[in-house]
Amino acid sequence: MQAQLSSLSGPLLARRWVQKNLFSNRWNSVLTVITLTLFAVIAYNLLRFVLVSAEWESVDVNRRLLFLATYPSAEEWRLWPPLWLFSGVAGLAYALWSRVSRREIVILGASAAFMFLLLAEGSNGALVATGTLIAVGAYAGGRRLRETRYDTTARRVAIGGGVAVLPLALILLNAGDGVRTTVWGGVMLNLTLATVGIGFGFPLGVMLALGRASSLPVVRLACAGYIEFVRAGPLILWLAMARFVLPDFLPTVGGLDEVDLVVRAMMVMAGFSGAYIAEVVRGGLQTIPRGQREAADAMGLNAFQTTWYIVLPQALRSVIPALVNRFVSLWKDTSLVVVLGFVDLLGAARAISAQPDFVGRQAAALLFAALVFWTVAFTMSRLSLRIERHLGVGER
Amino acid sequence: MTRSRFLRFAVVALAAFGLVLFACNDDDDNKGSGILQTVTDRGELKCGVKETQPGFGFLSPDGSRSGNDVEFCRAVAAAVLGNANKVEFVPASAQDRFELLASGEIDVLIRTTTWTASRDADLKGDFVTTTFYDGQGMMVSSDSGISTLEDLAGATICVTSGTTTEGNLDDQFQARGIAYTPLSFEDDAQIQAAFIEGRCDGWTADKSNLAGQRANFPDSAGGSAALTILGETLSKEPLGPVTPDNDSEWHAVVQWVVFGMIIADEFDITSENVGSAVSSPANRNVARLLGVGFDGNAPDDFGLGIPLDFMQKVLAQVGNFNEVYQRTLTPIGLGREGSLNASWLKGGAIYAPPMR
Amino acid sequence: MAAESLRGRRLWRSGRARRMATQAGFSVLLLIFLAYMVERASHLDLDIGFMDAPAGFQISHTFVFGFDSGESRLAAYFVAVTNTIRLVVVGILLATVIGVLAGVARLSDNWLVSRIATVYVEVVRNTPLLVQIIFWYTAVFLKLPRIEAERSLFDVAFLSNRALALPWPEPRGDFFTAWVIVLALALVPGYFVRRIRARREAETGQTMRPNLYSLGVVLGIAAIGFLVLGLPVGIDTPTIVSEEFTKGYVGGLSVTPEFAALLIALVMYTGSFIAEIVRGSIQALPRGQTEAAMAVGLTGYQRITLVILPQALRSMIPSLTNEYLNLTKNSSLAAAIAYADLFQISEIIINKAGHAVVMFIIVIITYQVMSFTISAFMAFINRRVQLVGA
Repeated sequence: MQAQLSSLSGPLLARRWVQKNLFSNRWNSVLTVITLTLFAVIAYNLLRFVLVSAEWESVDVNRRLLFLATYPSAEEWRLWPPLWLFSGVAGLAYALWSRVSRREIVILGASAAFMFLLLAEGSNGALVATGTLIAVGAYAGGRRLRETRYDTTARRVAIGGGVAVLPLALILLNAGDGVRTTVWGGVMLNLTLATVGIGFGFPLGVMLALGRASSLPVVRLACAGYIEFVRAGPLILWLAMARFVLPDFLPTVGGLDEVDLVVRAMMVMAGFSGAYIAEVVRGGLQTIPRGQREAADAMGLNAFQTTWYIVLPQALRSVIPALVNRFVSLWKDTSLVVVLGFVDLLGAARAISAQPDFVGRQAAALLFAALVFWTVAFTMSRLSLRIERHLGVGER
Repeated sequence: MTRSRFLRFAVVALAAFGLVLFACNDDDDNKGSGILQTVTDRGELKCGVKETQPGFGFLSPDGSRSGNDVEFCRAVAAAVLGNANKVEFVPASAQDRFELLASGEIDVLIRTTTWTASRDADLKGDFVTTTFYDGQGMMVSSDSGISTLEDLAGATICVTSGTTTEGNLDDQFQARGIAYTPLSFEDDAQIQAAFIEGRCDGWTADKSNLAGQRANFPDSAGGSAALTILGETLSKEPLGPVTPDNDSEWHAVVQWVVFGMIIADEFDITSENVGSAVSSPANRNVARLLGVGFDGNAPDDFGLGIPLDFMQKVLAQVGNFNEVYQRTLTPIGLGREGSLNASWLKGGAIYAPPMR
Repeated sequence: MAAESLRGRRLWRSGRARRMATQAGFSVLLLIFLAYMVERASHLDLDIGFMDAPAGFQISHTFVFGFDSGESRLAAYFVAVTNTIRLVVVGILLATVIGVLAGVARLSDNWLVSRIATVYVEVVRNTPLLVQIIFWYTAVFLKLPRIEAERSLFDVAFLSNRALALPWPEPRGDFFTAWVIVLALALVPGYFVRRIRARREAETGQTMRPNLYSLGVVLGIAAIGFLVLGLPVGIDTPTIVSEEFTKGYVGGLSVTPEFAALLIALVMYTGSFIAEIVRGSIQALPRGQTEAAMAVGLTGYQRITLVILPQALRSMIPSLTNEYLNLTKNSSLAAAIAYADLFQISEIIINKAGHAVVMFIIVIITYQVMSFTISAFMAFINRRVQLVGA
C-alpha cells in the first residue's frame, strides 16, 4: 500500500516541483524554454567534444609533461615530502576547523580522487597513496583531538606545518646539487609560483597595509606609492619587466651575472600580490574601531604589541574571504608566466600541439589545463565561502 | 621578549628569501679552470639544446631526444669522453640560452643559434663553425597556387613576434612594394593552429623550422604535400654550436670535432667503414683524421688535449657530417643536394680547414 | 631598573622622539634604495628619441587610423592604444550587460535559469583568463569557415575565420559635420522635455513617460536634419577583393577573430565577477523592498528595473569600477593571440629597439591614464546615482 502511494506521489511531486520552479507564469515558461534550448546546444557540443572529438590520448601520454614538464625524473624525490606535509596539514586543518557537510565531503573526495588518478602513474602510485593515507590519518587524528585539551596544540601544529611547507620545498629543491630552476615546469611550477607568491606576498602585503595606515607621513607615502605604482600596470607587464628590466636593477652578488628568470618571476609574483593583498588588509584595518587601539594604549601595550596582538588578528580575521579570493587570483595568474617562455601547465598544454602525433590538436590539453586550474581555484573559493559563512560576514 | 621573537622571525624570513634568491643559482666554479678538464672530471657533457623543433632538437613524450643539434652534442661527448651517451641534455630557451652558457650551467650550446656580430661580441659566446646554413623562408599551402613572394600581395602572413623575422619580413615586402597584413604570434604553436585553419596565407620563419613544421603537418590536413616552402630566402641565418667566452682550448675541441665530421664526409669515411679505414688508411690525411700512424710513422698530435683517436669514436658512435644530416634533416624535407648545406665539393658551402 | 633608564623610556614612549627617529631611519633607508635605483638607471639610456624612428613593422589590426611601417614608432604605439581603447570600451559595456543579466538570473525564481547562471559564474570565474582567451580563439573562432568557404548573408555581410565583415555607417557628402551639430543641439530640447514631464509625473502621479518623449523629440529632430541635409550618412557594405592568389575584405566593419575572441573572453570573465557584485548588492537590500514592490503590483521586470537595480547600483559602483579597471589591465593579454594591443606593440618595439625601461614607463603611464579616466567617469556616475537616491 505504502509503496504504491509513494510511487504515485513521486511523479506528482516532480510535476508540482517543475510547475513551481520552471513554469510558474508565462514569462517564466518562456525563459525556461529559451534557457533549456541554449543549455541543450552548449551541452550537446561540449559532450560531443569531450566524448568524441577530443583526443584525450594527447593528455594521457603527456601526463608527465603537464605536471612536471622538463623536471628530471631522478629528482622527483624532492617533491614528495612537501606534498605529504601539505596533505597532512590539509587533513588536520579540515578536521580541526570545519563542520563537515556531506556535500563538501563529496566535492573534496571527488577532487582528491581526480588528482589521485592523474598523479598515480607507474611507481608514483605508492607515493600518492602515502600522501592520501597521511591526509586521511591526519584527518582522523584531528577529529579525535578536536575540542579536547590537545585542541590548541593540534591547531598550532597545523599552522606550523602549513607555514613549513614552502621552506621545506625550497630547501629540498636546493639541497645538495639542487635542481636548476630552468627545468621547473608543469603544474609544479604553477604551484611553486603561487606558494611563493602567497608566502612572501602575504607578509609584504600586511607590512604595506600597516605602513599605509601608519601615522608617519614618510612611511605612509612610500607604501601608498608602491601599492599604487604596482597596481597601475597589468601583471603581464611586470613579468615582462622581470625579463627585460629587472636584471639592470638587481645587485650582482657572488659573481653572478644575473638572477635567473624563474626567481625573478617569483619576485614579481610576490611583489605584485603584495600590493593587492595590502589593499585587502587595509580594508580590514579600517573596520577596527579606534577604541581598540586606545584601549590597548591604556593597558600600556606598545605600538608593536598593539598591532601584533590587538589590531592585526581582528583585521585579518574580517578579510579572510577576500584574502582567499586574492590567493585564487594569484593561482590563476601563474598561468601568465607562459609569456616568459616557461613551460608551466598552460605552456605544456600548448607544447603538446608541437608533437608530431598531436599537431594542431590542443583543445583536449587546453581543456585539461583549464580543469586543473579550475579544480584548485574552485576548491579555494568554496573554502572562502565557508569561512565567510562561518564568520557571518555575508549575513550581517 | 616579543621583540626578540619578531626579530628572529625577520631574520628567518630574510634568510629564506636570500636562499631563494641565491641558492637557486648554484654557480659551478668552472669558469677559471678549463672546461675540458671540468668535463673530463665530471665524466659527462652538459649540452644546451632545444626540445620542440623536430629535426634539430626534439624531446619525444617517451623521453628520447633526436635532431641534428642533439647528434653534435653526442659527437662532442664521444670525442672527449669516448662515449656518445655521456651527455646531460639541458633544455635551453631562446631567452636564457646565453645566460646558461655564461653561468657555466652548460658546456656547449647547440640550439639552432644564429651567428651574428652582436652575439659574438656582446653575449659572451664563441661561435664554432656553421653546421647548418639556414635562412628565413615563406611557407604557403600548396593548393593556393602561390609560387613567389610577389604572389602574396594582399595576403595575411603569420610571424613570430619579437624576433628578427618580423623586421626581415617588412624589409623584404617594403622593398618589393607588396601590401600585406602581418599577424604576430608569441610562439610557433599558436601560429601553427592559426595556419592550419587558414587564418593566414603565409607563414614566415627560418626554413629549418618551416621544414620541421611541414614534415609534421597532420595527415588529416593533407600531410606535408599540402604545404610548399617558397624558394626565396629573406635573410641569412647560419646556425652553429657556441662555447663559453675565453676558453680557446675548449672552443678548439668542439670546433675540430665538427670539422672532423665534415672532413670524414669529404673522405667518405662513415660509421660503417671506419673500422677498415683505421686498419688500413687510404692516405696520410685519412690517417691524421683517425689518429693512426701512416707508413710506420707515429700518429700526428694536433695538441687538442683529447685522445688522438677521438674521431674514431665520433665516427663509430655518431657518424660523419653527411650521415648525421641524412639521419636528422633529410626526413623533415631539408634536402642536402644542391643546397648551401652540400659539401663544397658538390657546390655547397660546407667546408672544413685541413686537419694537420 | 634604574630610574634614569625609566625616564629615558618614558621619553621614548612619549612618542615624538620615537616617531621622528623612526621616520628619519625609514627615510634614510628609502633614500639609499632610491639612490641605488637612480644609480642603476643612470647606466641606462633614458632618451625617448627612439620613438621617432620608423617603425619597420606593420600592425595587424588597425581601427579608424591606418598605419604603415614607414611611420614612426610613436605612431605605431598610438594605433595600438586605439586598439586597446576599442577593446576596453566595448568590453566594459558588454561585460556590464552580461554581468547584470547573470547576477539577476542567479536570484531568479526560475530554477533552471538560476542554476545555469551559477554554473556560468563558478566555471568562468575560477578558470584563468588566459586559458579562456586561447580556448575561444583556437577552439571557436579559428574553426569558422575559411575565407574560400565563407558564409555570406545577401552579399552584404560575410563570415570566415579572417573576419566577420559587417555593413557599417559612414559619412557621405559635405554635411556630415553639420548633422552632428544638429544632433548635439537636439539634445537640449530633449533634456527639457524630459525634465518637464518628469516633474509633472512627480507632481500629479500620472505616468508621463519622460524618457520615451525626450527620446522621441531627439530622434525626430535628428531625422528631419538627416533628410534636410541630404542623407549625410550612408551604409558602407563590405566587399571581397580578390588578388590573384589571395582574398580579403574591404569596407564595412571587419571584426577579426582575434578581437572577437578577446572580447568574448574578457566579457565573459569580467561578467562573471560583475554578476557576483550584482548578486551581492541585491541580496544586501532589505527584503522589504521586494515585498513592497510586489504589494504595489509591479511585475517581475518592473520590480528589477525600477526598484531593485537602481538601489543596488549605489552600493555596486565602487566594486564595479574595480572590475572595469581589471578589464582594462587584463586587455594586455591580447598579446597571447596576436591582437595588436598597446602591450604587444610595446614588446615589439622593445625587441627591435631596446629601451625597455622607457617603453615600460610609457606603458604604465598609458594604463594609468586609462584607469584614471574610468575612475573619474565612474565617480561622476556615482555622484549622479547618489543624488537621485538622496
